[in-house]
Amino acid sequence: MAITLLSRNLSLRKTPKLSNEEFKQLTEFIYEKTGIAIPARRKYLIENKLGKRLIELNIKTYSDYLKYLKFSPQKDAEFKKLCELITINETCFFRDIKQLTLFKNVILPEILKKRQEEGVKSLNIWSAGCSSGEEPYTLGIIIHEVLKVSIISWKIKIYANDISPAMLFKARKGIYNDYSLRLTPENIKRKYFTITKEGYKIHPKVQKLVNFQLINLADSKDVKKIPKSDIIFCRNVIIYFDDAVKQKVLSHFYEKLKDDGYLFLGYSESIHRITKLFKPQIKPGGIVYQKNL
Amino acid sequence: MKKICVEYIVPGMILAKPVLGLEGSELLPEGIELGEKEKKILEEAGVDYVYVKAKSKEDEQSLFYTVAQEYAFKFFMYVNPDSKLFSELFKIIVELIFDGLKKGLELPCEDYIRAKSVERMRDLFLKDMGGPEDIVKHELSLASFPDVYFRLKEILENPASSAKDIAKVVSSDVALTTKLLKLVNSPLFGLTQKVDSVERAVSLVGEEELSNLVLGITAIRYFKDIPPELMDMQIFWKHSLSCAIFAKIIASHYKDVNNEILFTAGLLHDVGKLILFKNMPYSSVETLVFARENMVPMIEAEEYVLGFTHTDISKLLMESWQFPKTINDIVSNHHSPTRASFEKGAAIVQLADNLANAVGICYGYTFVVPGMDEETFDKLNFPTDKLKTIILQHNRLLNELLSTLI
Repeated sequence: MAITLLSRNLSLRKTPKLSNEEFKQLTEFIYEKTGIAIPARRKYLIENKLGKRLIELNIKTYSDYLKYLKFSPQKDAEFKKLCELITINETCFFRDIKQLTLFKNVILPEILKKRQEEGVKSLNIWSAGCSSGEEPYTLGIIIHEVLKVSIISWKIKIYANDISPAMLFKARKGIYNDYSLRLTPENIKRKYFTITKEGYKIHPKVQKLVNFQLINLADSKDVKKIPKSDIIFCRNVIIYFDDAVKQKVLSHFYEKLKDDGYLFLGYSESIHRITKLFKPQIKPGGIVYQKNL
Repeated sequence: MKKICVEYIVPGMILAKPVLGLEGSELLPEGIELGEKEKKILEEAGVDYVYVKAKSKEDEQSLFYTVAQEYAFKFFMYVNPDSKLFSELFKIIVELIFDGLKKGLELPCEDYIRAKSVERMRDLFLKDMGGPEDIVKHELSLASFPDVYFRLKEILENPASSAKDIAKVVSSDVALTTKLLKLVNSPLFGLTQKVDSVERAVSLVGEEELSNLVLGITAIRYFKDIPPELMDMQIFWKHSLSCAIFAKIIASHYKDVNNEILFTAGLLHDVGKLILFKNMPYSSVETLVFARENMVPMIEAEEYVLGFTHTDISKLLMESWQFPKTINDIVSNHHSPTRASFEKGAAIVQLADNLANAVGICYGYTFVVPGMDEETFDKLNFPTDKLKTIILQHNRLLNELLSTLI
């Protein structure tokens, strides 16, 4: 009996309806601002994700929501909220250990040696699309492991950026749960994390290597904030962009990568169809890219 | 009292056991009413699950109902909420989960639903350095498809052959015969008499139809020998069989569709995934992660991450094995029926796949319901008011056939 009463009001439609025209306008807006292309088949998913936000704001239609995004005094804050809703990132420390081993054993020592010979003991790494900070901190830990105490004679900076302020907030806070550390070796956990009430806290000596910034990779102005880099990591980010934006982002990488530097992409991302700016080099553990000069 | 994951707490639930914090301190006391604030405390402390109860029996019903609804909804976020098919399906699934919860069903937590680690595994080729052809070539070099199917095929192609010849070939394989007879005797076939010989089965079911069933059973055996470690094979075959049963039941609504072909096509609709997981474990997990991050179906994730899909693989594989063209056509296009020569068949398997996905929510199948084009569904002209009967019929058959065939 109770169940019929309950099921009477049950409906799959929980949000205002998104028309095709509104969907088009909304995705064009998102694309322009972020470079993220949302295919038509995700219409209902977007409707569900953003619909909840409309209800929270007491906005009736998606057209009105788009106006709110464009013209309201809260538009910047709302745009950030929108980014959080459409990009989720499931990442963790030491994701893709094979690639990181290649970085640790081959690429990093090579660059360090070169810079030392050149007499400039400085190293810039760019973690492009850093989500909640797991990647740049992992790189920081690896650098500490490689350089040990000699790290004090080096000027090392990891520039990490994302388009989601919530992710950056989490990244700056530097506190993680077990799930984020599921691939982290025990000895590393002991050395570089302290257990707090809220979770595992990253060691300040790693934290101070990393500089977090809110940056849109497709925005040339934003990218100016990044200095020339020895190594760029951009893993599982460009997969979300369409070809035009991929090309733009890769040209930014080309511009910001030193001539002898290396670019790491996500394991299953490929760029050879899209650009000839970089040449792949197959190494044990994966592929790294260098500039085609 | 009920054990549930923290993420499924509904405001109004009462904590039935205290939750302990660091060094034995009490994070939340027994008997406290849980609201958004308490949920946040638990989440921040990294508590996975809690024991809860309701204030009253009636309260319990509505709380369980809310949990069932919220859990099911996550899997329906990709489909058209105004579609008659999916809104009806959603209602049925919520009811099934609700019943399950009353009988002690435990819903898996988010963490469990996420992908496993594959850091030590290797793919057949590095990204962009190969394609479906390479995977299939590699697979074919490892093992050949069981001989019994090809012998049967020869007989069928020979106009002079009889039911006796077919029976002789099939009967030479005892395990196959047992499974085949159990299958045709199951209520799925609705035969009035008991069938105790292959010959009799041929005369009742038909030569071609029977050979399709043989193909299905043989294929299971072949693929069972190559389990990729990353896939829960039990869940995989349960889903496949579930799809097969649905496909056959749905097909029986149409006079112009061969039920047995649809059964076999349903059974094999995802075998491309097995081959993919086996040869590309690393990338496959990337696709799993991508699918979950973005709440999209696997087929879409495969396109993004790999640049090809599990149906590209099954298409080539089935071609090499000379599987019946219709089966290959259906399987290759079960995500895109309009591209199939036998559109209706592909549409039936697509519908069956959606139903199997939805029913799977109740037993731990964790992919989103992949959806179906409204137009394709309308063309089928399928009565949505029959959905519940079909699902209940399917549920009665699934476990029995699972132990028979898998």
